[in-house]
Amino acid sequence: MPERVVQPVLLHEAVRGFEGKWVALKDRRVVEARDTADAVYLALREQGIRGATIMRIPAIGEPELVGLG
Amino acid sequence: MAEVAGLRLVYPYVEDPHSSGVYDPDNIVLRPVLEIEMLGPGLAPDDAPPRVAALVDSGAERTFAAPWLARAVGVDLQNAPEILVGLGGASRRVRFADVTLRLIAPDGTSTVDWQADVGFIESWEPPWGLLLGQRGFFSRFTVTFSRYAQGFAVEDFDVFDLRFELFPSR
Repeated sequence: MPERVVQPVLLHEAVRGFEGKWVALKDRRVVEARDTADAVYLALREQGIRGATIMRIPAIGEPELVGLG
Repeated sequence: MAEVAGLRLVYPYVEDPHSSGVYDPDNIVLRPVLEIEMLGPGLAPDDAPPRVAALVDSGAERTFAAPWLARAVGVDLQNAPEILVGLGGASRRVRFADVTLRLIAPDGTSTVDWQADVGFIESWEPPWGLLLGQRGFFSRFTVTFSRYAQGFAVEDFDVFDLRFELFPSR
């Protein structure tokens, strides 16, 4: 069977060690990590980094979220 | 970046970062997540808008955002309409504002901008900066999910009508 064009994006290796932090990811690599999203965004602006995606990495042991909305 | 014409974007599912602490290759949590930028009056023309991972949440009636995004783009929520919603098992105060959202294509080379009524929740825990719900996202796009393909497609709002011939006389 040919390989699928769409492959899931796996993040666990990139974000390991950043549990509990807000991070900025670019090209599947953490380029900034802080305790708050405000601090991450400010750091990106100060460093002139564009196109990095901000998200929170849950702490170890934090339960899987269900039924958000 | 160019605006997308004849919208047909296919995104891969994204591993939930929750997996990092308890990674199990046979039980990876995958989510329909894409990248969205938010624009607002506090951004200068040369400012990079905040870009966040956004969960496409078909079960959410509205579109919600983390409060830091309002601060980042200069949205004033002081006199914004406020409601109480249940999120993650708790009641949350939400203030709504019209903002511009920018959908980033999977390859990052093109975008789609649209206006959406977004609720900013004062207490926010999800890993994603935005929850894209029925109003504000599914009202603007046709979204097709496939766990089998481990991907989802975002197309123009009227694609659903055409695909299922809901207006055959058109």
